[in-house]
Amino acid sequence: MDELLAHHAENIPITPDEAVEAAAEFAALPRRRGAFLRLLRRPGPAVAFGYLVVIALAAIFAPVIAPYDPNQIDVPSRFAPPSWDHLLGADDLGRDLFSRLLYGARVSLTVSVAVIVIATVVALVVGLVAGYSGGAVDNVIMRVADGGLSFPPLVLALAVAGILGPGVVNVIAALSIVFVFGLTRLVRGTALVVREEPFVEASRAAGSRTRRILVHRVFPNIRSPLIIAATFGIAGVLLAEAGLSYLGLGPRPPAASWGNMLRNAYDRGLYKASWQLFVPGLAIAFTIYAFNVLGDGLRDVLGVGRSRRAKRRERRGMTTVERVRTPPAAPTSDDALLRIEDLSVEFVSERGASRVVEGVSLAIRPGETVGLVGESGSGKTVTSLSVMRLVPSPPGRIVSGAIRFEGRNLLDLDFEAMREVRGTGISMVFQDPMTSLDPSFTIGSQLAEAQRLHRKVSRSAARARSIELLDLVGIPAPETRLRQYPHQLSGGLRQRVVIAMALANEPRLLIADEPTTALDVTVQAQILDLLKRLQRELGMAILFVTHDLGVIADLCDRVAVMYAGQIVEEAAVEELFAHPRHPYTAGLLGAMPQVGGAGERLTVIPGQVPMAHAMPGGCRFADRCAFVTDACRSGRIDLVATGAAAVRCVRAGELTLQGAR
Amino acid sequence: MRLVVRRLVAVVPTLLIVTFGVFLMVKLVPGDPAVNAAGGLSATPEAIAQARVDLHLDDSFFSQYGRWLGNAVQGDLGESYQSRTSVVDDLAKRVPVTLSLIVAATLFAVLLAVPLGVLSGLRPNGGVDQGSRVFSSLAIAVPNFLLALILVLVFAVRLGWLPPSGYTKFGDSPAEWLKFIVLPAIALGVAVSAALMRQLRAALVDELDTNHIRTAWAIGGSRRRVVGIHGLKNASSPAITILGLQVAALVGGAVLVEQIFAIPGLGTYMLGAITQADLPVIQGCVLVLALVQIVLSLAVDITYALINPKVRVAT
Ligand SMILES: Nc1ncnc2c1ncn2[C@@H]1O[C@H](COP(=O)(O)OP(=O)(O)O)[C@@H](O)[C@H]1O
Ligand code: SF4
Ligand SMILES: [Mg+2]
Repeated sequence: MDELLAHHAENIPITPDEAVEAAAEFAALPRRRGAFLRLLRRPGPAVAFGYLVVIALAAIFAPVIAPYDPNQIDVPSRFAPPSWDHLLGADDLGRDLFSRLLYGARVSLTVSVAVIVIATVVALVVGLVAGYSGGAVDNVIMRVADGGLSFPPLVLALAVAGILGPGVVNVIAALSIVFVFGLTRLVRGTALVVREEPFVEASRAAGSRTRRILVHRVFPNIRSPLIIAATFGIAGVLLAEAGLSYLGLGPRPPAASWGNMLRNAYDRGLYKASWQLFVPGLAIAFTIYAFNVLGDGLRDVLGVGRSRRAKRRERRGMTTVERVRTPPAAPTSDDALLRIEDLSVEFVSERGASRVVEGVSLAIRPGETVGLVGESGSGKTVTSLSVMRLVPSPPGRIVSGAIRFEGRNLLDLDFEAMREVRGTGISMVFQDPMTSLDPSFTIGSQLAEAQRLHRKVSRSAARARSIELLDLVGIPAPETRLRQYPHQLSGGLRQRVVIAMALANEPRLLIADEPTTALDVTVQAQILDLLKRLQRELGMAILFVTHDLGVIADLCDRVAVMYAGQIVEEAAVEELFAHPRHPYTAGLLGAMPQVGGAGERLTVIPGQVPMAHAMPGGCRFADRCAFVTDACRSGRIDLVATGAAAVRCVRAGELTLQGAR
Repeated sequence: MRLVVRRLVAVVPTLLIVTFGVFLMVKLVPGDPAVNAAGGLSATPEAIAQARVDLHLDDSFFSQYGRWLGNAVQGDLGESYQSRTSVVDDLAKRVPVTLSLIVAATLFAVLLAVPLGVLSGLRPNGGVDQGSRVFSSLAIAVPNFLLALILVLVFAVRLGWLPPSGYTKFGDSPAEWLKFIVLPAIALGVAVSAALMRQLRAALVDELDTNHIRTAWAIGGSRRRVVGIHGLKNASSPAITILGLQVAALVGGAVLVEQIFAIPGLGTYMLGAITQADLPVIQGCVLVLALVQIVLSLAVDITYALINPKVRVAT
């Protein structure tokens, strides 16, 4: 979108829909004060502005500064190279190029400013009338603007100027006509958007007169986009003017303009003194560039679109591992399918690194279903993505630990080796089914791709398997679905497709990251039933991630509770529900809607998860815990294992907490 | 198919307004068209009066427009004041020339922009990205006619690799055509290429952060597959939009570029007519150039719709 906006601003004639869209983005932004000063604090725009001031002054004071009469012919110095006599040399008639350049600047700037002023004023009036009155008036005005925008701008300008004949005034008239259509669209689009804003509606309802609303409400909102468009517009006019005068439609000779100087240098000097091309050429290029830089700067300080520098990172589909401590040694014998040990993950930003997962350890045996529970933001997704090495890097990186899958440490693998594990050993289903599938490919091709990435399969075999998979995940009429695109399917169906893709290569472990959260309640239940059935039928292990303890009970064997990047309790599911040992677990259980009950929340844990960059030193739950004592805050609290269970609480031994009711 | 029809229908009002604009433009010319048609200032009063009747100048404004439009639809845009040849015949000879220039420029733009845009999008801030950014800044600042002059200077005058001007029909000799079209196509295509490249880069950078790309990695996608197929296909839609917006610049720029390289297309035809105040020719050229823009934009629009399943396949 950012680039689209840039494009609009730089190329005044805009197509209808994008114009409105662009205007909406402009209008949605708050007005910023002191923008001009902030603009000049940036090096690029400051230099551009300085340059333009110099050019403007040079143009205004051309008669004083110019060492020669710009039209004074002096045959002996024809094609004279730059020297102290002729700063920029002389042309084929010996006219001083520096003087001509100064007078040319007058033409360029006069035309640019005049055209933009005329076009903007007309566009403001017409656009506001159209946007504000709506209905038939708007319709007619916009049809005309559409028509106007259907002419290639330069062609229209040429035709008008050509019919009117050469001369500065005619060029101004021609270019004003060309530029007015795009600006009108912009104003009208913004006015339309602003019109719908609550404060304008309110003024209207309060009986404010139209003119008042326009002047006090609508205009201020149009100002920023208009200033930006006008700045880029000046560059556009400058370019068009140079083009027209190159073609001989500018000021009548011998008067100088940059365009006709260029033409003259080309026609007369190409073989004898080609450097002459660069005198007006560079002036044109620099000036256009300066206006563009100024426009870009304005767009940034007026807050339109995100900064271009914002998103500059590489995406290679592999999380970086940069360990700060040595990984734990591999166990001699291991009955676990997946064993996460001491996993820590950081996100690096300008404000420093924030560690959002800290020392997480978790094991899953073959065929076992383990729940990972915790409030949103506790690090569940980051933990799961780490297993797939799919935490986006940068800004994410894994800073400690080992993730052993079937004995191999996934954190030591390179991209190719990891790629082999993804989809075959471990598959993952994500939270948002609406965006998890590629909108540009059919369901069939995405299912086939999932298979073909890992083994050679014929087209028909892949198709047969796809049908089988869709059947497996309970999608009726699979043949039809294969030909459809994701947007033709409901959220529930899409999630089934994603699950089918995940199952394509019979993985030993399925990570399901809140697979039902984005779906509505009945569909949620269906997907959960599906997962239960798949687990029974296929016997794979599942890591089921959720913020909702309620769905864990009849799905999981064991549960790990996560809080603020750490595991705080782990136990068999019945044990955890009956006898929670961590106050946070108890809090979650208390917040659970009762089975068969009215579904109301009983207790909600007060307070919020601490921010990753401001973690308390001791127990991370201390600020929200009803049982907090000084000991809780005094130092690091370890996860203490007793048999198959573990808890991270100094008072775990003494507290008796209420389980699920 | 229905989609194509819908787009075509939507173009009709625009066409009416465009033709009206073209008609109006000439009606607003100062001076008496009858005098011009009768041969200028030396025309006899009888000849002028005859011309008034021939040109139906005494009819009402709208019936004149209606007649003109009717003739235009039947392929009659009048005769050139100068050569007395049919404007439509002359236009028909020149349209393919201009189109071949625009197509060549677009091809050049795409061939340059796609690899650069993709490489920049893959490694934002990498070497290619930095280089491309400099290139696109330059492309924006240097107008196509200036670039054309510089290209002539360097490749035709200094190095002598390519002819400075002229044209051969593609049908006559593709190799010759290529020799003549290379420089004009570059001059015209560079700015388009820069816009396209920036859009492609931005779209790709955004695209690679989406959820479905994460899915593509998660099923074990190779870099070529994820970036080159899933990333690029989705990033191409916004890029095509940009191409559509650039059509206007291409058509307008073609006029200047043709003039500089002496390519006998619509642009040179129109410029010649302007110096001779040959109104029917100017009128015809403006109309056809606007039509070229409308048709090309439409083509881009339809392409966009065709590769975008959300538009193509209704839910
Ligand atoms: N791409 C990212 N960039 C920066 N911070 C992130 C990113 N992804 C997640 N985080 C941060 O990591 C923390 C844990 O997030 P997450 O694992 O998504 O939580 P959960 O899945 O438990 O809701 C949050 O504070 C979140 O803001
Ligand atoms: S350590 Fe203290 S603050 Fe933390 S959960 Fe236990 S009792 Fe509460
Ligand atoms: Mg999450």
